[in-house]
Amino acid sequence: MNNLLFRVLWKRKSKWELVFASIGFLIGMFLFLFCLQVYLDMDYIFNSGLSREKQLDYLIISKKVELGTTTIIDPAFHEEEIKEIKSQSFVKDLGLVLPNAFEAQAVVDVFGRGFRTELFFEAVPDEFLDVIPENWEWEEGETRLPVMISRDFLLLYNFGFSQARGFPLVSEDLIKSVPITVEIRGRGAGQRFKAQVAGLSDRVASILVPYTFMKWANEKYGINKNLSPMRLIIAVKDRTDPEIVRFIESSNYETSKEKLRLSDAGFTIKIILGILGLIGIFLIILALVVFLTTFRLIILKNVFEIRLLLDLGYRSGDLVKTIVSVFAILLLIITIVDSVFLLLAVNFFHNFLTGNGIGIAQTFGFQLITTGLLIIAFVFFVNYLGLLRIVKKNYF
Amino acid sequence: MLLSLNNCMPDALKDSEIESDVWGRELSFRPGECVQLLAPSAKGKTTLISYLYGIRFDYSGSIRLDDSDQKALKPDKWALVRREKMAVVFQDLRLFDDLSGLDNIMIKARLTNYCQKEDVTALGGRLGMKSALDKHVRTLSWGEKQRVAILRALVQPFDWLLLDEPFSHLDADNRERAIELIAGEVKKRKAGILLTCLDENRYFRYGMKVKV
Repeated sequence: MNNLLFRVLWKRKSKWELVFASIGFLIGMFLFLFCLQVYLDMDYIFNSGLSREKQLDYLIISKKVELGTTTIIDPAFHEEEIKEIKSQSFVKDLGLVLPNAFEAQAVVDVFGRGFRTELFFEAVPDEFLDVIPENWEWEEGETRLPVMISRDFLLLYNFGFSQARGFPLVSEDLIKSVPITVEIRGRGAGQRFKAQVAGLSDRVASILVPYTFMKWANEKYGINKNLSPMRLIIAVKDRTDPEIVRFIESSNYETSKEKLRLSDAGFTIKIILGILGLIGIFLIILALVVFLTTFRLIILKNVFEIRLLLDLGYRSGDLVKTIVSVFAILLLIITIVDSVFLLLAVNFFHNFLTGNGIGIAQTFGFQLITTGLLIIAFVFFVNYLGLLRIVKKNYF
Repeated sequence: MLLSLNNCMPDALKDSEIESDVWGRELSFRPGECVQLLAPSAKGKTTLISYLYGIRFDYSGSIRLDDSDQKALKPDKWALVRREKMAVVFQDLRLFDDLSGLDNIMIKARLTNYCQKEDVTALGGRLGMKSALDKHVRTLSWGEKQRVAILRALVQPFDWLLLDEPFSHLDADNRERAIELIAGEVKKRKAGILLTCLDENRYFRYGMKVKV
């Protein structure tokens, strides 16, 4: 770059507009890209690799239990009721959520302390599970017992219990490695199983065991052999069908709302992200305008200098290049600083998520890098072309 | 490079009664010619220089640089002409006040690298400008500024040197030195001179005298 040219063109320019525009641009880029990353992560967490359609297609229904009513409703579903539900037009498939009819206790050895607790299990047919973990199959005679717990339970433990008691956080991998002894008893007999968390479910808020195990254990140790299910899981054709709500309300049933709540929370977070992202875009546009104005000012303030430089034999392109090269250096610095900030922030965010038992497969993604580079390139070329146009318009 | 005027008439002089060898006539300046453009003020000497150098276009008729029409040349083409075909000393000098004399010259020399810094200081020495070159132009006398402007015109290749009353503020000694320097540089390039002046003079060996 021609140093003299630089001195002639930049001498009258106060640097503050550029400094503030750069800071604005830096913050705007950071906000926008960070929101983009969080949005992508959220999308990943809520959809866990499955399509939205598949996620929302299942409902768990139970009977409403109300306090203070004089009539006592039997909370279990009976055969006629199940038949009636199955006949509804919106139902694609229906499965029973089997409860345990036997006594169950768990003995867990956590951090040197033994916990003993009463336990309940439920089981749904495999085709209604959102994930089927490895080693989920169970056959009669096995002492190994795979269980699946709701991801919400892990979140509850990490956010609530462990914080209050000063216990360490438990990750998804850690909970899978905790050995649990399960004792089941009934009809004067009992048996021990080596249970292990095989996976986490987003769909059923319960402690699940394989359907085959539940059937076998209820048969053998069940106090009440004809125990009816209290919850049903149904696959619906279209989640948005208003008939679903109408039927459920008129039959005095209720649905598990956790899935809805989760998507509600996701929706709120996405709106906040959207607003922050928009602020980011707004800052970027504002900075872009200030950049353009600053360069325009340089061109218009230096009428004598630019006229003379052109008359000495400089091309308009040479002059624009001198101004733009400063801009390029500025953008390069902004890119580097923003990359460092983003790397730190995204890393921090991901550590926070994994520390709270939320699995993240994504890392600092290429979407982020491409989007960032595209914005920088766009801003650069808008300014470059704008400058060329201003010079041509005012001096030729 | 052949410079030719064909029935050229500045818009400003359109309605006035004028007697001129230039305006409204056929005239050409052949390469290597040394031309004296003579006229009292306000007859359009500087205007002619501006037309030939491509700074102004407010005339009727036509002006040609070799085969190109003066009005049809693109800006980038003009940049090339000013780098390699024509050098100029403006009457109002037109220097960057905030730069030193040397930087004013170097900003031109950088375009072609025809002269290096040492060449420029050597040239400056010949005009008695050794120490003055390092000073800011705004602190220089008019005579010193004029010499900076002359030096700036001599650090590039050219076919034509356009001089618009270039010695108006120089004393006789300095003028002699400048004339000698210019004559040498012009000869080196086998270039032509177009010099405007108010009164007849014998600064160069003119091959052509034109009344503007």
